[in-house]
Amino acid sequence: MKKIFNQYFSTRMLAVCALLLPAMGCNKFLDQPLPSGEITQANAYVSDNSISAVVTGNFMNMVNEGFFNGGDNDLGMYADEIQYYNPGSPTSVLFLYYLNELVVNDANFWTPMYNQIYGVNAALAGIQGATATLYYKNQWLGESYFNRAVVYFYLTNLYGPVPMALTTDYAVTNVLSRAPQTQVYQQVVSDLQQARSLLNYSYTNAYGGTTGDRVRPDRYSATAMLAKVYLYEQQWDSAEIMADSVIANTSTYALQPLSSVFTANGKETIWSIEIPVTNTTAPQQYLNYIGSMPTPIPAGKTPNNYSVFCLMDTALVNTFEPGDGRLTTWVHKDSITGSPGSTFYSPYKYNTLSTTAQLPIVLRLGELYLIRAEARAEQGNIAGAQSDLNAVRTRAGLPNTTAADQASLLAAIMHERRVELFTENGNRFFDLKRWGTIDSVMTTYDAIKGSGAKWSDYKQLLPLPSNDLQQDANLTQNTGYSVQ
Amino acid sequence: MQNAAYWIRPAWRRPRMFTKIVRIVKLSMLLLTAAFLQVQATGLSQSVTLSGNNLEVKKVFATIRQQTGYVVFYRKGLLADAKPISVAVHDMPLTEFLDLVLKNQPFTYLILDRTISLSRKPEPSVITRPAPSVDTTAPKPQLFPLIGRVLDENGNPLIGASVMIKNTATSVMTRDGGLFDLKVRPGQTVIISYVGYSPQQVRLTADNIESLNKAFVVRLQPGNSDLDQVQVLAHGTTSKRLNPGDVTTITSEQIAMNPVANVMQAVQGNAPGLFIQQTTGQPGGAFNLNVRGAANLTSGLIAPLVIVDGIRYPAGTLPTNSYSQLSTEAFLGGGSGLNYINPNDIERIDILKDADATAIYGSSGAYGVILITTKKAKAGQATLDVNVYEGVSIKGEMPKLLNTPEYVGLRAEAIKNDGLTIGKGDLDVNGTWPTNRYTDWRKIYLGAEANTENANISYGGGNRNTTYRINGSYQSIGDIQLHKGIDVNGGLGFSLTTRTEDNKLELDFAGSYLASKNTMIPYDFSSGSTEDAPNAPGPFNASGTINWNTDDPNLTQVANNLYRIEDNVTNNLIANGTLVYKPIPSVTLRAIIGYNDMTSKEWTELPTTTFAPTSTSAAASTQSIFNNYDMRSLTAAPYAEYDKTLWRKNDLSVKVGGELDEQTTYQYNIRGTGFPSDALLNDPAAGATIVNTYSETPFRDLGFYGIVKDVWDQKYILDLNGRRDGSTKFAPGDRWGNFGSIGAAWIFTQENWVKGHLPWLSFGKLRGSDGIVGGDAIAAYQYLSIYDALTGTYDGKIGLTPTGLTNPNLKWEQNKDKEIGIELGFFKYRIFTQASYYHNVVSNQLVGRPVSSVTGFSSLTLNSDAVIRNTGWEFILNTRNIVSRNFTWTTRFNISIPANKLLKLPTLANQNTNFILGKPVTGLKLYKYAGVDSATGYMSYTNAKGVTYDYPKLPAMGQADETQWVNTAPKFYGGVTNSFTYKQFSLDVQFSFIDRVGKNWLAQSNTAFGYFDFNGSTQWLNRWQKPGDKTSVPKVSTNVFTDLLSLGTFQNSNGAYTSATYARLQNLSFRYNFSKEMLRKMHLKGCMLYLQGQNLLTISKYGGLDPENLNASVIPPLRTFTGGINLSL
Repeated sequence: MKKIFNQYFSTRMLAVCALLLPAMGCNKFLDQPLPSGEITQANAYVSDNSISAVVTGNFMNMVNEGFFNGGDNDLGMYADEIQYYNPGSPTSVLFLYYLNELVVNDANFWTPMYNQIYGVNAALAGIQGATATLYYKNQWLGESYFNRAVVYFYLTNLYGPVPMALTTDYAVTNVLSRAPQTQVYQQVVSDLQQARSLLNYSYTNAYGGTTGDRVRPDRYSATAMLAKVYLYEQQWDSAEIMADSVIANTSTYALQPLSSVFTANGKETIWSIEIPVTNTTAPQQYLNYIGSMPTPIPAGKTPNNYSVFCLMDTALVNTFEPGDGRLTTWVHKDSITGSPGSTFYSPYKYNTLSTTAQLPIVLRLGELYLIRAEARAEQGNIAGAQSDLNAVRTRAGLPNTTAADQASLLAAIMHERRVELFTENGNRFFDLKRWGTIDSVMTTYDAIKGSGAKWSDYKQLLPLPSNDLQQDANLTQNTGYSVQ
Repeated sequence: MQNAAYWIRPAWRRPRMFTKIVRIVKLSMLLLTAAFLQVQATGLSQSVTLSGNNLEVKKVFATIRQQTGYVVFYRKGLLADAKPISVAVHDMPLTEFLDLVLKNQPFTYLILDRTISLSRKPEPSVITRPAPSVDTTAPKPQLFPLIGRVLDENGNPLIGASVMIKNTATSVMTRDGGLFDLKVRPGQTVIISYVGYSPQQVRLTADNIESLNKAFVVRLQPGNSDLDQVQVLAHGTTSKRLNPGDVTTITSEQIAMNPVANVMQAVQGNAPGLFIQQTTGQPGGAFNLNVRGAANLTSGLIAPLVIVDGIRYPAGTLPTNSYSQLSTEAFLGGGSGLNYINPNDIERIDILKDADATAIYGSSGAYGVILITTKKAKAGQATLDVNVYEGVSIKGEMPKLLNTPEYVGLRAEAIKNDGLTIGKGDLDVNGTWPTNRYTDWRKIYLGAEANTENANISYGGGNRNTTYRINGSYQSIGDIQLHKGIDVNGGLGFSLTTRTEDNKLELDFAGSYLASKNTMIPYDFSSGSTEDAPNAPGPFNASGTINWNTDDPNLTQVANNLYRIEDNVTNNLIANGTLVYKPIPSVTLRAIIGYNDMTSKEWTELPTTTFAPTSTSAAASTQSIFNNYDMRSLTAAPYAEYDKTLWRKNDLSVKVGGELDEQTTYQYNIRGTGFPSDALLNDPAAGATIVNTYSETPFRDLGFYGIVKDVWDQKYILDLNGRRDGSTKFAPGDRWGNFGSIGAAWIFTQENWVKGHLPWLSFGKLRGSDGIVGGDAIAAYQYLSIYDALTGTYDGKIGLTPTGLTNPNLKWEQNKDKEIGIELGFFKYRIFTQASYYHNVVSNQLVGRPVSSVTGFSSLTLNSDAVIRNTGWEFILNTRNIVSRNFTWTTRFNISIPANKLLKLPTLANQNTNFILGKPVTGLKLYKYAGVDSATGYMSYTNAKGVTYDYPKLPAMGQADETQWVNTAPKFYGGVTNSFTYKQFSLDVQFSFIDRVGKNWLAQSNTAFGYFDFNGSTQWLNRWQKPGDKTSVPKVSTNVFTDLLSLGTFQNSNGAYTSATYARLQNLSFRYNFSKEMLRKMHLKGCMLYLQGQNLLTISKYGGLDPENLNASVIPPLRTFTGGINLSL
């Protein structure tokens, strides 16, 4: 045996192995390049340019999914603004309208919003830990704080107490329990205050330069957002002060005629978002309601023939005062003669397929006037409140308000908010909750819906996704929802 | 050829032809069955029965002559020192008998053409090897020329048979007339082999070389083709006889019987352990492949590795256009790379299953390996081979829809059930649409007869040093859907083998190129077509154009797809080269380099004609998508092999090698929206809005291995595999893993005590294997934090976003695979059977562990501590029931019985609420369905408390109410093929069967029946009508809302699952081979005419749905009928 081994293995086989040896040190071969379009985390925080891309990516995520991707439509349907229209509607529309259930995916908002928070947390850690010299560090930090505040604001208004994820470490975030809403608001206010101190007084672009575009927040955007947060927190004085400082900047902000309120980067805009050209070709607010529907609709056709599944609620249409310019400018009306003859109303604030002519507005001056009006009314400043309210009414072509005492003035503001801010970012739904009128309004509305619709108090808050309740034992479901 | 042309032209395009063909086939089957009953088995015996003590050798030879007709020749005086023989055998095969009686005699034998010649055994002292290093002057034994001829069992010359001298590099192929010549030395052994025949060994002695040279005629006998066929393994071949591993081989003959576009359709039902599911009947669609239930806790069933001619091949889904409603990906289920290899170009498919067979592929082989070998050059006289078939495909199994009276009746009942009255909007029942109008919309949308044509031509031949083959193919597949699309492909290939005169250097080159053009519109009409009311006016004008002003609201959105434009051009290049160098006889150095490049350019266009002419946004909504992908794969595998017979009885083979794979996938997608003219749609970059995406995904893999195989006396086989694998999927410290396996087999029929006592046992082998294979089936770079560039810009800037949670601690997955098997042949292989049991345990499995989305993502990749076990039995039974001169009947049967069990639940998190300890991971927890309440007609459910409610009163159901459990994996599957030949006719009938559950038609209905303008299955005729009705179908209702909710709950209940067990007449192939006389007159080498049918009949209780793809809204597998001719000249 040994002989054979010596004869064949030791000499010839070793020679063969030697031929293969050069291939054996191939560890380097395994260092394959990353797929195109991907970089390592280490390369993401090396310069103003790459950090700006990360911060911009966070804004893009915010727009592409979660609350700003059709949330206004969903909440409009959830509350009393949008009406389900046709048997051909997708199942999700039916459930949302009739049962106030996000049946198709209860994680619609929650999951993408926490993904956005992860992105911001990663960016904040990355920017603060960056070793390179950064020239616009304040801007990147300010934008990130602003971003996180906006997401948490909507998150807590949709779900109530929510877990406060402020790190990217899953060992921490996977076992969080829900923080009280006051703590969430504290964080939102603190982030916005940080943003206010870090951001510029004027709009800046992704390279740190000044721009006419209003899609990245500036110091006034943070201030306006703070005004809204304080209003929700019923800190009327703070809300008024914040609103004041924005409205006072008349060189940048001014109320625009109804037809140009939603024009891109107009003076009405405090902060708008831009839709990255990926999934849609126009603001969702247009596609949801009018889409490819011709004007007028030909005889024998209905909006459903053009995949339009929801319309403006009749009660909302009827609530406009006679002569209100907003009903003619911001609402699309289509009458069909013949059988079955009918009239259809659709929200028409956004009315173009163009991606650049109009941009979806999140914060605008009209809302700031109404915020200040409400804050002033709550503090007993009747004249101030009237003046703010009238500013909005005048633009709509309506006479000054007749409300002269606090109670009627607040009622007038509530009405004005409904017709001014309809189908904008769930304002109606949040307002009904703030004012405590949601149960009575929605119960009345059940009768209009029919088909066994039944509003319950617990539906003010949305259910947490069942997956998260399974994975994180410290999370609890909102009252009323089954613990899946 | 002139004659043949007549046969090529059956008028297949005429629709009635194929009902005729079916009739002919039926008639032929009847006639053949009648014929079977009359034919008796006859045949010349080649076995010996003899018993006696101290018999004289001469007398034994006389008995042999008497019983077998074989004559024994020997030199005078040879028998002088013969010993007397004591023997007691019954019906023992001749060769075994000779082995037995001559074992202790001083002479050996050689069988040549019914003649047994005896010669003296060489004296041991003569072959003592002189030590080469010391005694170089010793004279080498003289070289003798040897000329011989190889014949088949009928005396026809075999061209291309291999004649090799054992343990040397010398081997030749037989040329015309089956002739060969060699230079040999006494003491050498010549092995003569040919595929499908038992190899013969002839030992040469100084005595017999002389006599042999006068008439060395070797007559090969058909072997047990199952045992002696070549099996392709990782880097080498073996025969099933000597393989300790578990490999199933599908031959080109089996494939040729199936008129299919994807070869997996031909493998279906033929390969135990390989589960194949066709997901759509649409040509170009995907196939789900799975070997032995290989499953991942989170990603489900894992597809095996597919290797074509040594190159890693993209057999999974392809990066086709995946953009929302225009997605080709959704339409074809991702497609399949195997659609771009013409099945007729495939020589064989080997499916490697156990650790012994797959370990050598390391991590990539953990989930099974499918080796595809294309047809290669063969030596012999130049031959032109032409194969042409043509036929039609029609839609397969689908549930029947209601006709107009039924539809109208049920609609009226639905309205009445809801306490409503027929309204203005109910056009279908209020008289607006005539109730005597009937259109079968499915027939309009899916009723076409799709032409299928296939032509293959090859030319090849060669001599002992150089062989060549060139081939061309053409295939055209029509569409059963309503539009003009067609899938046409053509291919060219070549293969060249050449070696030097001294056989030291050999070069093999092969290449093939296939170009495919598919213009079928990627839209599946099968669900849309069921929806329109049968008395609806429909969306078409009399001229066939779309009537956009129809009062039928449903179908313009379906019909508009007809106007889409599609053009998908896919090219596939496969090239490989092998360089073989044999520096000394026992050492072979081999380098294999393979390259595969699959590219596709696809245009999907949505012109203005797909929108209503009145639509204001039509122009702005026009779209054009260009999707381009290029998948490249390069494999380089050098290895060295040492092969030596030691101590005369021991065949040792040692292989050492490495394998390097590099794959890159490029994808480029341009999506333009808003075109000024439909004529500009061919340029997606001309759109008003353009979105570009580009991706380049690299993959690298590196492994080194060693294999030691030892065969002792053709009796004991030991196989050791070791492999070291590197993977980029792990952090540098955890990158390398060591894996290996051991396989052993014992051919106990080679033992004399078995030979002597169990003469009816022709073959018996016990085999077993055990090994560890790694797994790395996760995306690359999960151990690193990665940022991804987002598509589009925000305020002019491109964004970056983190892609997921990072886990730096990932390690190799462990697959511990064990198998034992037994293979038995009885009565001269009249019965061959095989049984295997496997036991595979997966641990340390790489899974995406679900995490709370508060973490930012839904899952984290980690090594799970769950343990999954796959076990199963696989059986093969092949029998030759009747074998006679004119008639044979053989049966091949196989069945696989897989089982899966979760041995340890993952502890880190509740991975999936469907997992139960001790149950298969393929199960689902479901609500308990209590049937349709006979009092109310509603579906009812039983909750966790055991209380049964009608749906409208059902309290919210939660996880606790999921009291039922259903396993969705197949319980068993397999196939049975009966083959008959009668004179020149042959018939193969193949059934495949699967036992499993599937979602039933009610659970798959998009909507329950009752709304305006939505038709349903005839199963709605059994609906509940009045209190007391006992039925499984609920009452009809127009209440969309309640029905939807109810259906949603139903789909999550055990009521949604019913048995989808089926048996399918998968394939029927009827052939006529021209007789030799006719061939001679026609000056042909071969001519065969055939009729084939695919998916002809399905027996199942699955409510009319296709039980294979289990999907009501996808085109079911098609039914195909073809006829063709195969000519050789």
